[in-house]
Amino acid sequence: MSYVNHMSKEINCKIVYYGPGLCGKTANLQHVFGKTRPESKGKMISLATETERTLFFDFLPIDLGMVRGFKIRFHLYTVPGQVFYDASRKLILKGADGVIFVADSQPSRIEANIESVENLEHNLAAYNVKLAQIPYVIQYNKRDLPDVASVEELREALNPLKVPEFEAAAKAGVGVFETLKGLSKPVLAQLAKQEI
Amino acid sequence: MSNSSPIVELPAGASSRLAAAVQALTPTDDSARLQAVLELGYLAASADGLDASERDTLASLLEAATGEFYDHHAFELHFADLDQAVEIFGRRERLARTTADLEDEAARADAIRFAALVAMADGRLHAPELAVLVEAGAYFAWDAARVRELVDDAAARVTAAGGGAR
Repeated sequence: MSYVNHMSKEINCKIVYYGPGLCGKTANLQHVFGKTRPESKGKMISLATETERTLFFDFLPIDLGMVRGFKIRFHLYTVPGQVFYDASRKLILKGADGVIFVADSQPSRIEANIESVENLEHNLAAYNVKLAQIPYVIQYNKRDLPDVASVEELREALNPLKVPEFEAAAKAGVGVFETLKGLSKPVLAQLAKQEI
Repeated sequence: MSNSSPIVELPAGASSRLAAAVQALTPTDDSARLQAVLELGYLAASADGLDASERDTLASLLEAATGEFYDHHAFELHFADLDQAVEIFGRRERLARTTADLEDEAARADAIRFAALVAMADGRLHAPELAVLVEAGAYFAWDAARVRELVDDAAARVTAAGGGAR
């Protein structure tokens, strides 16, 4: 559910990075922010309450062009992945136009990844949305670490919907834009169908 | 739409000077800043809800202040857009994002004055509206007293000589 600002002629899309704690959501956001030209982006904002932190920024991806005379502005959001921050995660998912699930490729984190996907499905259900209904991609992160699970194992555990998947090492910037572009395509396709 | 006692109440006749005061604070050289101050004003004014007549008053005020660029209908549409933005992105998130577009001290001070006057379109400023301005001020590392000074200064701009906002 994108938000259209008729005055500034912009369509604003909300993209949420989801995943278990320490999987690399923030590293993704920071890399995109760091590599986006200053004139195309807003400030990175960290909104903290006493216990939790939401990190977000918005930007105009220049190569995405325009939809019916409106510029597209992507708002990238991430929230802490720890289990006890569920209320915040649920709130952030409201109105999301697309979700990137960042999975931690370490074998010891497979269970946490599975729980996080289940939590994502549960929280989307609160808005009557099914994972299969929205633009959704999976990023297998931390591929640069030794002894990671194979992509086949991760796929088996996390990708029953067979959505587009990307390997990444977000801290080094590897695979970050590929993942975002992979999500951008279906988000833009959805936008093209919407009435403005 | 608040039933609480107003924190600032403009004297009779001050409303007629609101548009000119808002106009004087409206950025004309920077569309991003204009968007930011409009949204800040709307976030403050809508802090305790806005009924149809308050929206109408607000749109009329902003039309009078910026009519060269936007008319009443454009503001009605814009308010609906901003409602949607708040719903999707969150009120606190929008406030944080909006204040991030205000870079220098003078622009920030004028934005708080602008938002205070917009929130006073009905002649009053209530506690929830002031709370939004104080929260915005916190992003500039200003304390509540500093924000209150700016609010009082804004009110003084539309108060006739000898009169006074309370």
